[in-house]
Formats: sequence, structure tokens, C-alpha cells
Amino acid sequence: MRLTDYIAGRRRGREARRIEREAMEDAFLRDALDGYDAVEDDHAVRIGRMRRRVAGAPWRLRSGLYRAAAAAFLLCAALGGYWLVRRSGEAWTEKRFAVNEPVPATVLSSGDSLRLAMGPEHEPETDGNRKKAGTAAEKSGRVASGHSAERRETEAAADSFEEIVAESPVAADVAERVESKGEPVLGEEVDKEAAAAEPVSAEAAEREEMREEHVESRRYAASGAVAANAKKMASVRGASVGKDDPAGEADRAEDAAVREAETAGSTGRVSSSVGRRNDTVRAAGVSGTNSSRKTVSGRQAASVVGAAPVRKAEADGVAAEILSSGDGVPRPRGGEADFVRYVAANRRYGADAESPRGQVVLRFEVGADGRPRQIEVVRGLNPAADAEAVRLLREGPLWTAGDSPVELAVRF
Amino acid sequence: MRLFGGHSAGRAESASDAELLGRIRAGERDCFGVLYGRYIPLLYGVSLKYLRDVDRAEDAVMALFERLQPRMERYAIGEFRTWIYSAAKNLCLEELRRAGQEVPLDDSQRFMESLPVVHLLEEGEASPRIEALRRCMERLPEVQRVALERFFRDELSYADIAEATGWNLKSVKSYIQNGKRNLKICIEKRTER
Repeated sequence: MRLTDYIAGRRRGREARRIEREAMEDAFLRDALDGYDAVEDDHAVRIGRMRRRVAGAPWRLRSGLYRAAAAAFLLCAALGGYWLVRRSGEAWTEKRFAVNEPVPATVLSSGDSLRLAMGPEHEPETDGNRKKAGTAAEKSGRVASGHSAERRETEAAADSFEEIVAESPVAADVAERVESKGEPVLGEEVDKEAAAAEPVSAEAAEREEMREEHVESRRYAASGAVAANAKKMASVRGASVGKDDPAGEADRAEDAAVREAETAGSTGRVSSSVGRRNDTVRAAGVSGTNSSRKTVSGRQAASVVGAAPVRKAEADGVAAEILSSGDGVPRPRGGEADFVRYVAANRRYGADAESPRGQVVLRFEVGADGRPRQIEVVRGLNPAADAEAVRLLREGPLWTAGDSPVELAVRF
Repeated sequence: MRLFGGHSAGRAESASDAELLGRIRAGERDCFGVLYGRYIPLLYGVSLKYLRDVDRAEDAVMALFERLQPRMERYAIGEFRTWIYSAAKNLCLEELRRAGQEVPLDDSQRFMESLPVVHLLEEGEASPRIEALRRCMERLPEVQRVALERFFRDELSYADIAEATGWNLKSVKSYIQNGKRNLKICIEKRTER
């Protein structure tokens, strides 16, 4: 009998007994059988799925090099597309801007904010068009370094995993001795293994966190929300470096915002990237135009505004709020704060004062894959806001699985 | 996968772990999918044991694969089976610590200590300690003795024993484990004299 049969439930007879007997001498098998006894499920389905995914791996771009090259290529393609769009006529782009927020000319023409965007060594250009083209070129350079920085981080995070795996010679040694001799003194080896694991864990745990974000960022890219993750990482970095340096932090926030806008553009959504860049450039540009020099934190960046007509972000509270609570309720995988930041950074709704303010309440369930489904509007605002709330939810971060429905308020 | 010479890829399924490891080290990265796939039932079970959740366990198995795949050729691996077991266990323990959950105690030592008893139970008449074994069996609590006899003498599986005795599966396993441990203690005491 194969192990998969036993797992599937064939527990009677000599063959099943043989597997159980083998488990008395094989810790790997015993742990596995313990696991299947502990959790009820149709295991064969999942095992089959994992096997398929693992067998199909060659076709995925697993190498970091491929990913970086693909991202760079997409970026160039998107930039090229963007320039073509601009050349095809201002009128056309203006019409699109009516739906998104209008380009805040005051921010872009402000020498301060532009210097922040490009770094103190650059002179702001006077002509509006040339400015945008010039800064785009600067940003692509920075993005390229951003990508390689990301790759370096993935490598660093992966190196901590080296330690996890490198420990294994100790464990492997122990396990082998167990297998062959049958009566080792496991006591001290186990302690050694635990001791070796301890110093690794704190660091590795932290890098695990960043690795989680990278995993998340891959998913985001698929749904087009790379911006949220880049911004989260930027705000994490920005926050950790220190709040006592408003100018420097604004600089970093600007960098992050600009990088975010460009990576958002790299997924190919040219018009939306312009819309998003408005949010983020405006948000970061605040520090330049706003004389009162408010400290820019990750979330507040979106809320403080210069002279340009812009929606009052978070005027009535946070951009989104999860209304359900309890044990079985799914949560955003990156945490609620992260989800709120995503909504704040990505929502697109009328900027004019006439657009109704308020909130849209959604109810949905979360499938095994973490995506919201069966999204219904419990309390709506207007068709545009409702649709936007649904879009944000559907394209946003994944959720932990859970049986209970979730109620979420998105505020505009 | 190579375009030409594709027949060698077809042989991957029947290659041994060691052969596949050799091919991976030689640069055939795709062989790792075959090798890892063999151990998915075991790896998934282990993840289930520690993480207690089907989604987390599946994530762990796939995360382990995705991390190892690009760097397999760097590792010096003796026996892949033991290596991948400890890598998976370490990953699960890291995940538990990261999530702030408690890490289960390692009970493999207790298991291994009673392994000689298992061999003794199976050796039968030939063993010099058979007399001690008989005496100690008589002194066991009835349920433990019965469970051990059913498993070792009658070669029944846990589910068979549960059916025959009316005990539930957890109890059957517990009687066998405790019976083994008690036998070990008893036999050691007797053979010390």
C-alpha cells in the first residue's frame, strides 16, 4: 500500500499495519502520520494540487534575475506607452483626468517639491512637459536601483533561510543516527539543535517578515496593486529611520512615492498610474508646498494637502474599517493597518466638492485562496463609490481564510 | 527542460533520490520538482502536525519548495530524505515562533528509547531476554498488554485493533505507546539484576 492510500483512509489490514510499524522507526513518517491524524480534510486533493504546482514549476519565472529583467522590460514598455499617450494629445489625457484627480499643476511646478523628488543636486526644469519627461528618466534610474535593492533584500532574506537549512546537518546527523542505531541519546542533540535555532530565530523572524512582504508583493503585482506594498515598505523604512528629520523623511517619502508611482505604472496601466502618481506626488509634495512643515508619516502623507483641489482624504476617519470581529472572521493577511493604507493609497473617487462623502459597507466571504468573493454592497453611497469600493476590495491584499462573512466599511 | 535529449527528462521519475540530486547539482534545476514532489505527502503531513491548519501547511510546503528551488545546487546534501525532513521541521518551528505560538515538545526521544522493546517483541523465542519480556508483559495493565499483543503478535493495524476491541483510535495508540515504555522500564530493571 502506498502512503497516499493510507492517508486517504485505508487503515485496515497488513499493509496499513506495515506503515504504522515503519513509523515506529522513522520520525519523518511518524510526524507525517501524526499530522494527518490531527487534521481532517480531503488530503488527497491538496496533495495532488501541490504536486502539480511543483511539477509545473519550470515554466514559472523563478530566478530573481528573470523577474528583474521582466520588470525592467515592462517598465520601459509602460514608459514608452505613457509618452505615446502624452504625444497623442493633451485633450485626450485631460478627459481622463476628469475622472481621476486633475494634475495639480501647483505641486509639479513647485521648485521645492521637484528638488525633493530628484534630489538636491538636480535643478528643476521650467517647462512643464520637459519636467515630466526629465523626471521620468530620473525615476527610471532610481527604479532600476530600487529593483536591485529589492533583489538584494530577497537575497538577504533568503540567506537567513540558509541558516535554517544549514542547521539541518545537525538535525540530519541526529536523524541519521536515530535511523541506523535505533537508540541514540537524543537528549543533548535536541538541546543543541534548539540552541542553534535560537540566535537565528530573532533575525530570521524579522527577515521572514520582509520576505512575507515580498511574497505579498508578487501577489499584488498580479492584481496591479504593487503600489500598496512599495508604499508600505517605504513607510516602514521611513518610520524606522526616525521622525526627527522632517526634511529627510519627506525626501524619502517622496522617493518612495515616486518609486511607487513608477512601479504602479510598470504593470501597464498607464492612465491609472498617472492618477495614482497624482495622489502620491501630491502627498509627498506637501512637505515642499506646505509652509507649516507637518511631519510626514506613512499614512498622513495622503491626508495633508497643498493648494491643489483634492479630495479630503480621511476627513471622517480612517479610509477603511473592518466592522466584523471575532475568531472565525478573516483578516487581511498583512494586517488591518496595511489594508487601510492600501485603500487610502489606491482609491479613486471624485475630487470635486460635489462628490458625495460617506462610506460604503461591503459584506463578503473569503475563499480558501484568500480572495474575497460574493461581495455584496450592504450600504451604498452612489454607483461610482460602490463600484470603487468593490474594485478596491477585489484587487486588494489577500485575506486569511475563515468561514464567517466579513463586513468592511470603505470611506470616501 | 532541454528541448533535445528530452528522453533523459522522462527518466527522472524513475531515478533515485541520489541520481536526481546529482542531476540537480549538474544544473538540471527542473529535476528538483520531481524530487520534491516525491516527498510532498510526508512534508505536508509534518506541516499539518506542527501548523494544525490545512492552508498554513500547504503554504509552508510550497514556500519551502520555492525557497529551495533556486539554490539547490549550493547545498551539500547526504541523504535527501533526512535533509528535507529537518528543513521542513525547522521551517514549521520558525513559523510557529514567528506567529508567537507555542512549539510542541520533541517527543521523538521517548519513541526511540522504546525501539529495542519493539525488536524484542518481534524477535520471539530467540532472544535471551525473552523471559524478562514474558514476565513484564504479565505485569502490564491489561489494555496495554492486549494492544501490544494485537499489534505485534496478531499483526493488526490500529484501525483493526480499534474494531476488534471497541476502543477508539487514540486509545489504541496510547496503549501501545505506554505499553512499550512500561516494558522498557520493566525489562531494564530485570536485566540489571
